[in-house]
Amino acid sequence: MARVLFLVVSAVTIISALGVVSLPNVFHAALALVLSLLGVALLYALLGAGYVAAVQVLVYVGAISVLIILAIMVSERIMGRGEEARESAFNQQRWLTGAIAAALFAVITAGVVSVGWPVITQPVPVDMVGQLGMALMGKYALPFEVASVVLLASLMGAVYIIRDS
Amino acid sequence: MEEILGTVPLTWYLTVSAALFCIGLYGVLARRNAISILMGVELILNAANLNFIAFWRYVGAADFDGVVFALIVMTIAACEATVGLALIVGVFRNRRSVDLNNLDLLRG
Repeated sequence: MARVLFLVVSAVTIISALGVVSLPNVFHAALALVLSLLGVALLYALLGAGYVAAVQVLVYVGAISVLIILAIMVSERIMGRGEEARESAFNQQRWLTGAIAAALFAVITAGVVSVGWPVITQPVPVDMVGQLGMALMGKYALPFEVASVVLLASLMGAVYIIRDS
Repeated sequence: MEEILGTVPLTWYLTVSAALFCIGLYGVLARRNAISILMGVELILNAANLNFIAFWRYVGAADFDGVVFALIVMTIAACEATVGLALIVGVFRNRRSVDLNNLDLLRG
């Protein structure tokens, strides 16, 4: 049962990820990206990391997708109306890079399957969100604060880049 | 939950993550549109995060190393998307195009 669920979710994720890189219209690719990110969120939920799944839906499916779609709308000539829409969406190296990506996938899969991972099946902590909050404010306080400073700096940088001079 | 752990092996998650990574890599290398390349980068970051969560679940669920790492990667991915899209919009304002084949300002 769990395997069937996993296979269905990962099939949706991978097929929509293929849509992200192969659909010629950028807007359609962005919509496929939303579906693929939702599939990854479901995989997190299957792994027992419900909080990360919720954050994935909020940050990726909510914020980043809206940001990408807004950027597509702002640069509207790529939405299929300009002369660029008739050109190919891919550069000259598409077959070479496709072969390289497929070969890399084969190598990674062979390596992953051949290594005997030391799997320990521990139960997920009961009060996971509470313990995660305590860990973020205790053991991981420094990376947490540094990440928030980086986020603030990048947002200020984005506003500076994009504003009218 | 125990039934899920008992039935789906770790290598399946790692294989899905490898597939996502390679698809994202293909998107980064083969597309001409700058926004498409950013979407490929998002796929790659999601593959890395899936690996973090899978290893956290199957190798050491006692502490929260993997989960915290995944959350911080998400934060940095949000930063990267913000700055990247701002740069793309800025480039579009100047050049009226987001096709990377046209961005040859630094070519001597």
